[in-house]
Amino acid sequence: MAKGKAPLGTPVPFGQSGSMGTQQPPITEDESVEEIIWRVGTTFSVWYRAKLTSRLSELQKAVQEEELDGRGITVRSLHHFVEFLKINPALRCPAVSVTPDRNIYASWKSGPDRVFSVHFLPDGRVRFVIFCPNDKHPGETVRISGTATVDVVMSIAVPHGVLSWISDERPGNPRF
Amino acid sequence: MKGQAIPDSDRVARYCKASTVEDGEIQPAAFMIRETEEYLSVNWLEALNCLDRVSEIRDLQKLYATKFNRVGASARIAILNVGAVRTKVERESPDSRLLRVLHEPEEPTDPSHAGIYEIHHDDEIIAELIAQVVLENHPARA
Repeated sequence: MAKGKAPLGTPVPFGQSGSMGTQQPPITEDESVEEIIWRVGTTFSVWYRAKLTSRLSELQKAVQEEELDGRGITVRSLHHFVEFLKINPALRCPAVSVTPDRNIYASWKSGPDRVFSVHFLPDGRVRFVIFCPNDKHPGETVRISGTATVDVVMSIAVPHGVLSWISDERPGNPRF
Repeated sequence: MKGQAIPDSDRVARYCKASTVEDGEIQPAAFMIRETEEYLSVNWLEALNCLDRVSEIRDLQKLYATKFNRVGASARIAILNVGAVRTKVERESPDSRLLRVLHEPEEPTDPSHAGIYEIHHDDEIIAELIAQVVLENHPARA
């Protein structure tokens, strides 16, 4: 392990960003999807912001084309997703998709027994799924789902070891 | 026949919108339904009466082109084995959910239409499990 690195599983104050994220202008709730994406692309301090911006733009276009009313992603769901990433800057870029209700669904996976997925609802609640290995019974998988709010979902997930596959271990990450 | 249970040995296809696919990989959101929907829509491959998979995919692509508003370039077709889906969900869902896969023909335009029942709109864990048993992944647009 490199000097100064904390071992995986070391408690970190998720939800209390120690990065430049705290200095970024807040995303206001009356912004449009396009404005939020633009802000992600211009002010986000995560390394994957270009990839994320591209993915969100692609999703917005896809949803607008798929639906007869031409409306895109639910603004408030996107807002909560982006806020979640801002307060948790040490995460890898998730796979992002859109649910039938046009909400953001983010997934971090490493095989079928390491899954952490979050459905961001417009009201600030989330529904989450965690699949993780059962440490006491090799070959068995623990499967959990539930409802929480954006600000506490990480504190629920961390005790299940999700950091071992959702964290970004690149140099310069404030966690390492 | 409407309401007929599709045999476990058969296969169904799910149209996965572009917004549920990332880098060609079908995401669990493809297997979620709206609150107003009674079941997850699929097509029963054996009911297409095609000679091979290539013909089945071609027929589905033609069907989607007429049925949906716009089939995105990155939209995909997920092929699922009925028995594998039902077994996976029964064994691994917290409530040992027993899915039913029933023929729901929409005559005359979509006679192979079918539905996976006992999925609810807030069933992210079921969607995750189904996504893990996708057998094949094909383009939804010709």
